[in-house]
Amino acid sequence: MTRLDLLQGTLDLLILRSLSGGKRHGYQIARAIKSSSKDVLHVEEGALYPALHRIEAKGWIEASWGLSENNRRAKFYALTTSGREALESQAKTWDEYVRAVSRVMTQMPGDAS
Amino acid sequence: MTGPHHSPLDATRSAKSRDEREVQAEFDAHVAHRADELVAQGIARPEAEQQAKREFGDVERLRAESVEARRPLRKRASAWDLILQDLRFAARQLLRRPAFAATALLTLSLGIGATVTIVSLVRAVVLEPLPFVEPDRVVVAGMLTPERSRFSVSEGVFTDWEREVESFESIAGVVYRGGTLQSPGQPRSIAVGRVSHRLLDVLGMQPALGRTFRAEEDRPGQPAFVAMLSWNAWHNDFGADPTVIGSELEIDGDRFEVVGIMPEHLDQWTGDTPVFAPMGPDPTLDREDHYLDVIARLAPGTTIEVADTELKAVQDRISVIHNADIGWTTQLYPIRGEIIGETVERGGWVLLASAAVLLLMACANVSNLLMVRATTREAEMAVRMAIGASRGRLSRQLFVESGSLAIGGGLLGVLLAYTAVPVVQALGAARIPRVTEAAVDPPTLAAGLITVGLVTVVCGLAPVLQLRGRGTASPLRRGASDPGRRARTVLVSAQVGLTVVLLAGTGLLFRSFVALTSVDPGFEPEGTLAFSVNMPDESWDWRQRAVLLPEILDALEGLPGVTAVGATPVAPFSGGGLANFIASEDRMPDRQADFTPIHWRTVTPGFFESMGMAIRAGRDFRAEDGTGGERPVIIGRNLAEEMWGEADPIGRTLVWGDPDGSRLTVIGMVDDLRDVRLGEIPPMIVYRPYRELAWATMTAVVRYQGEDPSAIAAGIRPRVAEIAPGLPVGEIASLEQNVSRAVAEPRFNLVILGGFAVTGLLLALVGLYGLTAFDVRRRVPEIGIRLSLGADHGSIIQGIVRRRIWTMGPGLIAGIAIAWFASSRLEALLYGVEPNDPLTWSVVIALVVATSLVATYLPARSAMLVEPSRALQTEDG
Repeated sequence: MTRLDLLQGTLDLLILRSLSGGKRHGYQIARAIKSSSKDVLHVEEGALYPALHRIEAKGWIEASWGLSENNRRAKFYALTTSGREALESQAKTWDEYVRAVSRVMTQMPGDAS
Repeated sequence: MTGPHHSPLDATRSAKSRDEREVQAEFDAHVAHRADELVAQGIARPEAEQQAKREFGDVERLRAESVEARRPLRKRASAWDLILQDLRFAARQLLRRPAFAATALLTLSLGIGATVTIVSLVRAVVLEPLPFVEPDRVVVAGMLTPERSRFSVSEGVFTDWEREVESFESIAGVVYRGGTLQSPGQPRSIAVGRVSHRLLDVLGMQPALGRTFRAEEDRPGQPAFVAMLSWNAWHNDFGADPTVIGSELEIDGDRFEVVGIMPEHLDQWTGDTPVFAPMGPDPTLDREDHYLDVIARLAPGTTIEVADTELKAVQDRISVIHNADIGWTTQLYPIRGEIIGETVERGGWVLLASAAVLLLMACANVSNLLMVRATTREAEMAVRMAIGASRGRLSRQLFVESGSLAIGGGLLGVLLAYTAVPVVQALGAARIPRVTEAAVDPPTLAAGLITVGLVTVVCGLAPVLQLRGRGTASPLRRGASDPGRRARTVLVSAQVGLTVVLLAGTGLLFRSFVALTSVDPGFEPEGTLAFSVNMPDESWDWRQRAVLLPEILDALEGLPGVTAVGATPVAPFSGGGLANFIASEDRMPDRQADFTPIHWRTVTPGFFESMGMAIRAGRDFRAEDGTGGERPVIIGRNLAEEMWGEADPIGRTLVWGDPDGSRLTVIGMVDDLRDVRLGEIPPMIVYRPYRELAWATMTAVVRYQGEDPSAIAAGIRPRVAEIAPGLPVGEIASLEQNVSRAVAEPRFNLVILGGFAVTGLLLALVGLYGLTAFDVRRRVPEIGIRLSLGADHGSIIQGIVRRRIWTMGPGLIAGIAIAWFASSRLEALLYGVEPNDPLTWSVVIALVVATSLVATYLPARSAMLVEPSRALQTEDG
């Protein structure tokens, strides 16, 4: 099983995506990314929280305190309107990027193996 | 939001801690959820919580980063808050290293203090405009002898200029005479300025109170008995009482009505003259009696060259008409140079440049300290950059640190300047014009503020550049390279170079000062007391004086301890002088060109002895000399050689330059006096007996032996009062003070520049020592290895010192080059030494090299004291 370190911009995108289904708190976001990537993408707390606060500062997400499924106080994040727009455009860019990269990887005439 | 009673600082603090608390709560929630999950997997609660915490990692760091990421959210976090935050951080950083902070502050306060002090000085002395309206239009007019010696102007010539020269809008003459002011208690000997009524017009000034003199009070030969007080006299002696206008002063028995107060800064031109009265220039007086100082205001649109040409033409014409001053010409001088003086101005700029050099050296030292510290903080910087602190933010942090140091240093420096300015003023008071007006005032403080700004940038720049030259990762590769090293080496060698500049300047001024003070003034100032005696015509006619003064001197000779007493009309280094013309009778002089301008003085028998001057040929005056029959004179050696070469001058006859052509017989010859300007060739001089020319204002010189001078001084006044009741006796002081005053200006420059040079040398020493010590400390592991492999201490020390000195080379050479260039600018200030004086240069270079060796040897040696085994363990250092 490979674990990949995430680039900063990618982490932001994943955070936004994980919030597209509704509000979540930090631990849930980390779990969501980990499980939906089948444990390949591992989000360090060291990167997650500064990123959350950075994104909040950009105005893409909003925070509010509430009770979690474990009946604990936790800070929940939710997408704002501009956050949805950012997710849409970044997802599109990401998609194009991935398609372009995979096109190159599959269609390039292979040189010596 | 916080309540209105909170200060902004409190608001930011609580905002910050609120952010921190919130982030912490969020982290706690994360850890709790993870622990819940672990418990669900069957791990006991305490272990689960511990594992969750461990997994979470460095809470402190994450919190700081998260809070930092939130910054844009904090609306109150204005630029000002950020600076406050940086300042707090900088203060904490500095307090953590008090030795570093103290060194940096002390260094900067020296540099800034020196700069502020000299700026206040140069501003008052050189930069401050003259207190006159359009000072560029004010000129001083003087006469030039056929030999181009500068002379004053006669009253007759002055009235002609006043009438004829159209380039002058207004013109005024001044002559300073001694007078006796009858004041309650006892008579005071004062100077009275006899001035033209247009004096203030020429300068474009207004009387401070009352009025100035009227034309009808200044009629030729009939000056009115009205007076004006100087601003200082009015303040010091009359308590600035306005009712003094209309009161009367009794001077030399005449009653003068006070009509006005002179403006405040007139003393820049007139000196400390307390009382002024109209001159009433008399054209019938001897036209070759030159004693007026003449100033004029150029007509609008006229240049000094045009005026000079016109004045010369006018003078040529009137010389012919009156058959006087034949072969003479005139010269105009801008008043600025007359008041401030070329050497003073040059000296001011030299001192300012030196202060700037010292400031640069201080900056180099502090910059170096900051860089060394930045290097030791590499890890901190690297971590902070890795967690997202931008380079701009770190740069700002470094600038805030250097700025805090600069501000602190600036405050201390200004305090230093406050104490230094009065000291410097006292040092220069004797001869530096306008120095008493120097003050640490708002413009000077503004200059200090600019200095602090520059220091911030200059000191902060190097560490910031060091930061820029580095990626995020490289500092973690420990010890591989030290990009700041090269910059630090450059800084230190620049410092050493600048030391050469300061030391060379000081060395040259020192040599020149020694040369000047070792000039034999021609008399022995030690063991003398001198005081002025004023016997104005109104109270004593010349016949009475001719008897009275010798009587007084005889009486003083009877005081215990007194060995000789004499009197002269010109006190040594008083700046004054009497001039006339003389010719040798052998040459049958019949034209003005046959006459030579000379200085002359009328002296009493015993004068030469009292001055400690030996009679080289012939004899001294005797009491009966000058009472009839032949007219004996004693001449200086220069005049004897000019007239008769090596031949014996005794018994020769001289022709005096008066209309009658009096015949004078040389009865003695003395060595020459250099008591006008120490550094110049002594003028040709003739001494005539006092009995024949009983001058009104004389300086008595008393030579004593052994006794306490204050006891002798105390005996003088009562003895004079016994013989001549009511005769005012001036201040009694040793002639040594006069000599000391004569070298006041060079001493002033030397003491200040010398202080800078010594400070500079210390700074260079500290800088060099610090750099080498730091280098050596970084190399301790390597040195340890070499020692354990058997290298001996000596060769390692040698290696370190040699490498260090080698890297000094460029700085040293650049410094010598700058100093060499700068020293040629000093030429006007030097006496008896060339700017490229080999002795000075070799001593300076040797001193700098020796200092550098000591500063590198000491830390290198102390590194050798480290045990090799311990040295190897500090690898992690």
